[in-house]
Amino acid sequence: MIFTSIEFLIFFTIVFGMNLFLPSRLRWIILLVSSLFFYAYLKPEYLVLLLIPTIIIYFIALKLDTQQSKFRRKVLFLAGLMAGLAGLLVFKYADFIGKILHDLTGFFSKKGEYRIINFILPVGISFYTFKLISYLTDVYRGLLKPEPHLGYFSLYVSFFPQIFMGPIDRARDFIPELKKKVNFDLDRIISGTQLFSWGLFKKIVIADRLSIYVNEVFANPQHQGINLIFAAYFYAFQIYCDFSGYTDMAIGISRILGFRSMKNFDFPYFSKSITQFWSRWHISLSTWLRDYLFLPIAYATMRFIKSPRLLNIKIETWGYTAGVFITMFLGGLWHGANWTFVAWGMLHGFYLIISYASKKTRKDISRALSLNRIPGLQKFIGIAITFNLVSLAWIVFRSRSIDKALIYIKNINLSIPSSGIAYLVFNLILVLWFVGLEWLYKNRQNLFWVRKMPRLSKITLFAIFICLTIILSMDVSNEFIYFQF
Amino acid sequence: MNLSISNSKKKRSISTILIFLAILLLSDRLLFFLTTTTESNIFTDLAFKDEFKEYMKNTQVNTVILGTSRTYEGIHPPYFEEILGEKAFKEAQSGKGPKYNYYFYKFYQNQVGIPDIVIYGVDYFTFNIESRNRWLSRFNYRTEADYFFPGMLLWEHKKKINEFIDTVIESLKTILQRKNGMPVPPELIKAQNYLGSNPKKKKIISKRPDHFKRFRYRKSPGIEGNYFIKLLDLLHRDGVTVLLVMLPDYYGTNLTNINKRIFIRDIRDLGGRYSNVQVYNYNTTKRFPLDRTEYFINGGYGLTNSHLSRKGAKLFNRILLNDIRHHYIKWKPNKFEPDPRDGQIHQKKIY
Repeated sequence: MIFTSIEFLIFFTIVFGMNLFLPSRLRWIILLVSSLFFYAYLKPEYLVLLLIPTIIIYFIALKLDTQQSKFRRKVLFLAGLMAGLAGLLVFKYADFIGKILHDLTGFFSKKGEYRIINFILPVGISFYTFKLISYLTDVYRGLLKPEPHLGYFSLYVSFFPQIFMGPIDRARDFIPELKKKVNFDLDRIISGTQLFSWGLFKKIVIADRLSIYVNEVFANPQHQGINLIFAAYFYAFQIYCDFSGYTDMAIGISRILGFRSMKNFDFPYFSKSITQFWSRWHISLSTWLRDYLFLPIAYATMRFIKSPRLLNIKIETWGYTAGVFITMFLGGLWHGANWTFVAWGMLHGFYLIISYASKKTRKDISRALSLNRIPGLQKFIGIAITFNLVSLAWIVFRSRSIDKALIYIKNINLSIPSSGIAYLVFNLILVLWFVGLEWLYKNRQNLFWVRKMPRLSKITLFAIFICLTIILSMDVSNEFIYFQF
Repeated sequence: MNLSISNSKKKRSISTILIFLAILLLSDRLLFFLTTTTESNIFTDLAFKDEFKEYMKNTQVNTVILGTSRTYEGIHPPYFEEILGEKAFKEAQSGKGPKYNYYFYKFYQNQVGIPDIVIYGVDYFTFNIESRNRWLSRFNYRTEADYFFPGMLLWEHKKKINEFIDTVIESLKTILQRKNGMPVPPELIKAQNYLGSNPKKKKIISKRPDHFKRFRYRKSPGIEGNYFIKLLDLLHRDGVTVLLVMLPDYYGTNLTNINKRIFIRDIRDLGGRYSNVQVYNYNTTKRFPLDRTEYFINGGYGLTNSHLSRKGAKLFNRILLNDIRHHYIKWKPNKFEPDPRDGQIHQKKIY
């Protein structure tokens, strides 16, 4: 069941109705049962893979809290980590690891070829596994008291708006949300509905429409000329609208039900630098990676080097570089068991390190060109460079293999092909319209006429927006891209 | 959820929802009207009428071929010229159902006059297809809707609205091509010279699987069957000889479309009502080698769609034109010399 289906509309109407009219003390039961039903609806077997690590980590966290011995705490933590990661490693990476081992040692061979296991990846496993690990680590670090109620803990892990594609909310923020008393508030419901509609628009209008053009160009990169440049740009918007559309819908649904979920995207394509981009793209994952990977690795590297400088480079730079490389490598791998994702992560790691190392030089250049006197132009240049770098990395991410990505990049030129131009123009109009809408939405608090707009005008605009969504939406919606991760 | 809210809040909430619903329905009607009007204008502006007039100016046509994509791939005017020495005009394509064909015939009648013969390619889905707005809007046709319908019209007619977007893109394509000085091959001329395409192996499922999906037949009148009857009435009134031709489908497709007999009976019943109508069935192994994959572009077990290939169409046109040759002799008795191949095709065992 996906958010864009009629089944979901029926399901949500029932859940919302029960949530509205049944006593508050029953709320967690309603939500837990509906969340488990929502997840099992896709494939009932997946429920086992969700419940086993949830229960194991629930008990290990309780035990961790009462355990004094450092060694035992560590053993318990590692056991919990293994329980959490086992599903992910087996279902997502078994073939990837097996193939590497086969290439190195010849294991898992069948007539000289690698014997493929080909497990079906349970949807959302990467997301709920990260929720479980963050919870376990926070309890281990003493930052969080373990949740004594198995029902609330299970609801946190399996909460239906978030289970497939996040946001990866932290237990310390979200479990209290689940427990708080909720009053009926029409404004909150309207705001949740608006956010849901905005996410739906991003998915079924922008992402799904762009996907037709993008798929066609990526499938046949030869003789496409300028289409290759635009397909890369359009893919940047497709994946953004696909993913952020889903999270907007998830946050909107949570808001309608009375919960506050963390922001996952903050207009990333308006970022002036790669560092800023990563503070605005998939925020729940990037902050997760920062807290549980980057910072521990950076500190460990600095502790390992000991002296303030190594090879005349500051210890902080070493820490940053090691942290970024390992984090981006694993961040790329998190997306899927394919070298293209790893290369994408490493490319971003490279961008981040260059950006970190060239901070001073960039400031000097900006001063020399007097760009700092025209902040608007400086901002525009920053946004344009960042967007182009990000789009280049998306080519690697989207391609089926590194070779195909290189062929794609090699074929890029400015010639105008005989076909596909009408679709290009149509999609360009769509994207520019979307960017305009995003800009308006981003600056809505600063625009006087938006703030002072009468309620009736806002209602009318929203009604027209819904009608336009129906007109422009695709007949059949594609699966969300991040479902495969 | 705690539902205890003040009366004023309750009133405000209800009034907001009601106002929103009223505005939503109004916007829906307005945008529906705008969309359908724009669509109708876009395609009428894009010169179909001019292209048609220009083409017909120098062409003496006595046969009109109507149908969908099966006919487009299966019956080709160049063979009419080659075998019968007659000029035929083909107006067949995917999405051109009975409704479109009815309107087209009226348009043709108005622009050119009454033809001698109309060949209509019928198939298992004749009563199950809906003509596309993209084609219908050539005749200033606009999607009809009940503006007092209680739901959203845009949602109710979503399929037609999707066609509107396709029309916009198609029009954009034509405009851009013209602006860039690229020649726009008129679909019209392309269709008249077309001889079919080559088979695509991947698109034919020739090996019979243990299980495959079967498709039921949608009986007449189905979606647009009433227009089919209206067209036959009109052709009868005009005294036009009508040949309803059931085109060959690949063998596996024939087994997929399980109610073939009912379909044949339907067509025969309909044809039997009119003295000017004759039915020709080539979707049988007795009349055409349905099991030869090289004669088809697509089709097979579990696939409802099957179209003749270039090679298949060549053979089929030869068979068909020899079978219908006598209709032309009736019109122009002195024109034809007896063809030595006449009758041979039926006697020869092709499979």
